[in-house]
Amino acid sequence: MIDHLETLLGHPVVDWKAGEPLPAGAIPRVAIDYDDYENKRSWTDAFEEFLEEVDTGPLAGLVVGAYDFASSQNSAFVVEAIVAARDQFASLRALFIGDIVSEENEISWILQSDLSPLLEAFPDLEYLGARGGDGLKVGSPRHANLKTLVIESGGLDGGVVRALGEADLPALEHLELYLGTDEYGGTVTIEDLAPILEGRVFPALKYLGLRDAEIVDEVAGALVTAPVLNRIETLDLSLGTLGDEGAQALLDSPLVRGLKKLDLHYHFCTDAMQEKLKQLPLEVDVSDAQSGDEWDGEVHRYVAVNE
Amino acid sequence: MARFVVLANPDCRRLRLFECALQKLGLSPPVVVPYAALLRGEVRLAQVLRADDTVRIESPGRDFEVERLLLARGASEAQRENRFRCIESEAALQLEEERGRLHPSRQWFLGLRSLFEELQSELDAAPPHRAMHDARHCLEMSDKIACHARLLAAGVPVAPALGAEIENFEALLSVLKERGWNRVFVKLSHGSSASGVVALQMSRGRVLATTTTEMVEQNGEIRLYNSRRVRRYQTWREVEVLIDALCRERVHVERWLPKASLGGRVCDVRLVIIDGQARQGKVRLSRGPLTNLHLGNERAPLEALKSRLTEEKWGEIVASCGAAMRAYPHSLMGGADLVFSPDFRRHAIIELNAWGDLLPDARCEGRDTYEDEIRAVAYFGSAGILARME
Repeated sequence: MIDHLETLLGHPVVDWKAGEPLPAGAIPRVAIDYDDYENKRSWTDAFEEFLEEVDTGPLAGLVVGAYDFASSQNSAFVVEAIVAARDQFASLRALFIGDIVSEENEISWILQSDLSPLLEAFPDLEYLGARGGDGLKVGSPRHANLKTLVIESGGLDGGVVRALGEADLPALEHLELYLGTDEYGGTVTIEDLAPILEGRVFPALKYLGLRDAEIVDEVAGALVTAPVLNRIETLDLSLGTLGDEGAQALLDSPLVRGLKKLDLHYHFCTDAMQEKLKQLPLEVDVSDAQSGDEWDGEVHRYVAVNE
Repeated sequence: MARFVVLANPDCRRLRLFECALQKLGLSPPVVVPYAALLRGEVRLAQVLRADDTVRIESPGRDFEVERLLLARGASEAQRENRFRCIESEAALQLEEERGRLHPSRQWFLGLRSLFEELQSELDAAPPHRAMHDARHCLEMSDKIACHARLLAAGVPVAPALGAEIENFEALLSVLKERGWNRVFVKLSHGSSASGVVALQMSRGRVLATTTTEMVEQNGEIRLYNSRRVRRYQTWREVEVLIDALCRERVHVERWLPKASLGGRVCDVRLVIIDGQARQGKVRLSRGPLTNLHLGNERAPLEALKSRLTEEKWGEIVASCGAAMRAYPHSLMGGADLVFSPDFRRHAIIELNAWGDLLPDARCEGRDTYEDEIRAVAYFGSAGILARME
């Protein structure tokens, strides 16, 4: 289960409330709650009040929380509002769009939009994160300073990954994608991932997260000889349906041994396999082992974040 | 000498724990009046009760023979009411026990109502005694629609609810559309814990019902079972069949407000209120919207929650608990389930349960719920009991 962001770029994230001062150094989350929704106070209203009340110049980051409880509007109006206010965010380095938890809206029901205007509007941005794969686009951005890109979804469209394969992000160190399941719109294939796995893009990459993936065993198989492993320090295949098959591939790969960290937490590997993984000469996280749900004589594995 | 007379199912864990608490306090074992004997007419409370006794009414749950007898007792009234699913009295007595099977829940309640009305009139006519509960209160707390209405009228913060009976899924959709609600909990009005609870959400032509209720079709009839597994129904057809089936049992529909989480888990808290004071508590953590599952969910101590609240906020919660029980002034104790908005600034009581004191591991000042209840009776009542305890 995904919780609200607690920190971003080392700053605490706090809910901004009209009339209440922000703690020094905090990154505000601007969101509407159910009361606002009932009282017809829109996210746009909240953001306007926020801009008026808060000295946004020194803010290092901005988090956008729930913006629409009826799921009738996608995030395009949020993107537009932030782009229009860009001059008021002189220090902005981090943006997260859609810090929405399942108690507010299911991840696959969050309506996203094309976020690329944010990258164009903020050339100094270092961190861009988003939750919700429905309608989400980032295009093939060219951006000199972006270090971190996070896309959390219950199912990621292959088109998003294919477009990223043509991006020009020379500073990108951290790429984190939740691939999800086909049931919730996840269509990413190994082929879509090829430019990333072959290291044709993102020359500065240190962390690669292909998380929450139903195809994680396949991904692990494809990673065994992937040149990107020579570049990165951390491989994160957590939250998916990794079983012994995928784990064995990782175990057998000489390239994996060159990593500093392998994060596999939330997995479906056997105890014996976990023991073998722990013997690898690097930091390995195999916590939160899952046993799968058994019914109708079959064992069903679920990714950690879906729906 | 002062005695405790307990109406209970003799094999239940609740009775064991109550007996342990009596023993711990140096008091005599209680006189137990089994529900089954009462329902079969083998014994009457009036025959047992003596002056200065203290009456305790335990939960009638977890005994299938008692369930059969209650269903049989409610049959004629259910047929007369003719609004919810019911079965003949004879059929009720011949029901076979099936794990998780949901039996006509309105009929069960009507059986309980008939029994408790009789009980209360016997208590009203009995020699001077004390009662830990009012049978009418126990009954009303077993009716979520009525209990919600009373708490709302008493100014207790509750989740917004429809406050009316819903005939079927179609009727529900039209009411929800009118109100602009797209996320609700549908609960059996007479169900306990997660029995028949559905977290229902709809948006742009999509629907999702999260529940532990399983539908089984048999001879063209839909049977409902409570299971341990959380299911998700995602087609309109399935959800319609499920909600229609639940509506035939009588449902309470309340708005699903976003809940706060602790350590990445959605949380709610059960607080036991004894003599107007919030005492023992347990925080329940869940990966999904259903926090009140018996199984599979994690627990946390009350301190985990309190550390997230200001002292002022905790004071408000305690006050709400007191106000809820003041709405039931003749009941010594109850268990309230509370939820919080994601920022922990707002709270609501989503359920008040007459038999919500089964929290065997929770302590307050070193005492469990049962000890506290007995001490509360002793403090206010019999000098005899108090003298023995000091």
